[in-house]
Amino acid sequence: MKHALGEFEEIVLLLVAAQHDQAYGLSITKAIEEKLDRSVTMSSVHTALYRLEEKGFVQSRVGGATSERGGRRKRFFVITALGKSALTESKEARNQLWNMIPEFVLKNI
Amino acid sequence: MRKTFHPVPPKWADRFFKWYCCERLCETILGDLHENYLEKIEKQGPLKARLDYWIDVLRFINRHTLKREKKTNRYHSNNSAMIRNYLLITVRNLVRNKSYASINIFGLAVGLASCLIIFFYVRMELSFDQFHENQEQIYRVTNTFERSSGSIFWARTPPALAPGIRNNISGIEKVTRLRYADDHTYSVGDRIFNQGNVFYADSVFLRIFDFKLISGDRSTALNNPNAIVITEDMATKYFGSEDPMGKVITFDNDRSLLVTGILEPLPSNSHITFDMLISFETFRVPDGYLADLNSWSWAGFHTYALLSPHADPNSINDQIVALYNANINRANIKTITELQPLRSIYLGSGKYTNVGESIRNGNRSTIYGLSVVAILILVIAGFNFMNLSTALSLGRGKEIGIRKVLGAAKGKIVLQFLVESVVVCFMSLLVAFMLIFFSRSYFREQLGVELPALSEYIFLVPLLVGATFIIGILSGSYPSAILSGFSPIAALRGNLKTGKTGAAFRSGLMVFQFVISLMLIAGSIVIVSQMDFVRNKYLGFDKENILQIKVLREDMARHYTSLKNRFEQHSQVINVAMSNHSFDGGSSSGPANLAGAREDQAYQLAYYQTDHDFLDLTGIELVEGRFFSKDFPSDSTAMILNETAVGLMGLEQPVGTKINFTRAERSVIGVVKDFHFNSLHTDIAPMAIVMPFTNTELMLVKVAPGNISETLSLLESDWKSIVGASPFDVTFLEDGIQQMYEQEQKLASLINLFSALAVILACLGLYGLVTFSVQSKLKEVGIRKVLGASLRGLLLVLSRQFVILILLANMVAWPLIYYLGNLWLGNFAYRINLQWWIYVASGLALLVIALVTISHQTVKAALTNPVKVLRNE
Repeated sequence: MKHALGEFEEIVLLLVAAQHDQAYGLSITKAIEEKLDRSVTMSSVHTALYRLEEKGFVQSRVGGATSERGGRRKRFFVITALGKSALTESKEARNQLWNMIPEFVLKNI
Repeated sequence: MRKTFHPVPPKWADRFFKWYCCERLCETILGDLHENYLEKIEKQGPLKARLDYWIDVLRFINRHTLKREKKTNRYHSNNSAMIRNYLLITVRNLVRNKSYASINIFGLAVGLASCLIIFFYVRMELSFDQFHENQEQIYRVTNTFERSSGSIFWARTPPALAPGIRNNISGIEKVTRLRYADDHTYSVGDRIFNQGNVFYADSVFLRIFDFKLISGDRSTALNNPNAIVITEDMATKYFGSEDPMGKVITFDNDRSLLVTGILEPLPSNSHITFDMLISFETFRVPDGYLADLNSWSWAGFHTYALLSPHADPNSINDQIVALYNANINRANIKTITELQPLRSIYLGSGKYTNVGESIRNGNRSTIYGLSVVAILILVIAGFNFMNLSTALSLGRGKEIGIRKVLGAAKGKIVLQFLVESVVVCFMSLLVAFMLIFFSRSYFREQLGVELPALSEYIFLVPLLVGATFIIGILSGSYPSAILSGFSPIAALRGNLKTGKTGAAFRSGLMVFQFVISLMLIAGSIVIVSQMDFVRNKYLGFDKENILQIKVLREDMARHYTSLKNRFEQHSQVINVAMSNHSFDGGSSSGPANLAGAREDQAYQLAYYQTDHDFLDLTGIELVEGRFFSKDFPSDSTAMILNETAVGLMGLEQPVGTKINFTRAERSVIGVVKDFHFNSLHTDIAPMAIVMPFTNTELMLVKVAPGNISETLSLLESDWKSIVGASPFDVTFLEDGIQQMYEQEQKLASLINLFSALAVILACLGLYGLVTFSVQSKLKEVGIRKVLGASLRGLLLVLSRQFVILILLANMVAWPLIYYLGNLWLGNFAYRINLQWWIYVASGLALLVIALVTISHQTVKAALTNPVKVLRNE
């Protein structure tokens, strides 16, 4: 596979794409907790984001001053073209695997 | 937006996060954390939120968030390499100037070692009697007799006092008596020892004082008559390897003492010292003594009281005084008692006489004196170090110049010299340890000062390292300030002229050192002359060529006459007398009533018991009447007074007066001139001389001068043939008298030693200063030489400055010497005066030593070829 993407990284990257231009550490943490019902620490989300940034899948920019959180700015993340292709690639790989499953196997569930 | 009060997240967590987190991520992550915190506080409460906040902060530590030095653009200096370079340069400089460096290191080491040695001595002296668990509540009861002419302080009290206190006074838990048992024979089987250093002690003694027992029960060991408690050493001496518990020691061949306890070796810092304790009920008043244990006038017992925890010593003392006065009343004398706290007994008993045997007393002024000397020596050593380091660094102008040109800021050069100074200080500390290690035996044997083993210094290491560091910084501060101030151009040209202010400062240091040296030199002279004065003062009797032989009471009773006759047959023996005391501070005393006076109107008189030849033997002068004579058998109830006693009792015609004294009506037959039967610390007390009514313990033998050892062997062979087994225990009277001044002797030798060291140190500093100033005057010397100056003239020019400094120091030192000298001499009732020659002698001594020191440099400078120093210009 051209772009190595871990399971957790993939989730984070999907959410960055979903919350386009409004994704930051805490929002993604909350989304994971709410949408996936999965307990996650903020630091691991941040770590994943920085790792993705290193790999070039996301880009970050610092937003404007806020009135909450002591006036501290937010670091927003946006998915890059490379990130998109990594997501697509990963999705296609999965689809390919899905397609390999004989139909009766799923029907019997 | 509406502003609301938001509880702030944990401040320290924020600080910690900011400390570790890199700048790029810090703000945004912290924002997320705060946002999360505010939400959590509403949902889960502040406590959980704060806890989670901390956990999150800790979780965020990872490779993305941590600060990385490389990424910052700021320049970071490489401190370790710089300090390594400083150390290297330090070592190179020391190696290059070996003689200077060793003078410097050695000088400071001597200062540090002296200081440490004195510190240990003082600490030992201050730690006396602190090992008793109840030491706060233990007091010694002493008594004072106040007369119109002055007060007499007696450490020992009458035997009835302790039971009186126990029965009548509340607020006292326990009270014990202690009675010194004179020399007796103690035997186990056929091993016989003549033993002193033994006390009779009440049963509670071991419950008041914490002298530890190895075996036996401290609460019952001294309960019964004929019980004895011995130290471990004595156990070995008497019983070898056997277990002494329950065994018997025979006392004076007639009583059996049962060993009921074995003591651990006594701590060396106990003011009471003993080898054995015998239960007080064993004590029998010796035959012939006129008092019994109910006496209120026989001051021969120590009384120690353990007060209840919250008792008020003052009110208890008032009660004891009332009790005392209810039982005895002396004419013209007010008797009061004093409760002396245990911890102040060792150092605070200077005013007491009648202290008794086996009780040790220290001297507070010795301790203060030595502490001051220690500090002075350290100051001298530090100043020296400053002067020498500055002189030593002058040749380093080029180095400093180069450093400055290469960008060293002033602060860095200061740092460099501080590092050097600290390094040299630590070298000195090591040398100081070596000095202490090698001087231990000297201090033990010559000065009686026990220094602890090196292992005991471990607990001091942090203190020492800290102190050395501070000394290093302080003494390095001056040279570093001077040297870092040079302009690089001047420094590179090697043209290091120091300003006038610097010279004044260094001269000031020098004067200070000289003042201290002068004080110590004068101090040594004063102490030595006072000791000489004490040694040579005519005490009212001849102390030369008198031997004193210790005789057991029973031997005295049996053999005195035959011994005396046999001794007197030798041509070398001039006189023989018996006596119970020998001018070394010991005395007995008792109440004296003028015939017809009321029973309770008594004068307290010290007394000697002696026989006929005493007056001839000692050369004491008779003022009136006659001395005891064999022609008057009635002299056994006669008495002789000294002038002080006559004055005290106000006798117009002393001879013939009848006085009730020592349970007999005695008539005064003579008056002797006052003589010093106590040490010169105290005034002469009223005293009486009577014929022996008990068996005394001393024989005094006056011998002809010359070939004493032959005389001694003659006497010893006589002794063997008459007395037999008992040891022949002979000493010189003079030595006994000398022992009263042991403290002063010790102080004298310590002060002598340390003032010699201080003078040497000051001269080392002087040498440094001279080098410094001569170096900067070389060109001047060259020009003077070229213009025809003579060698003598040059030496004058070069030395003048230092002679002026020494004269100045003399001006400052003399008033101090006057003040401090009189302060110390105030300890003596009989003392020398500070004469002018003491000041002049110390000043001259210092001047000569200083001139010799500087001559090396000045002569060298004056002999330099002027071409060498002038060709550069």
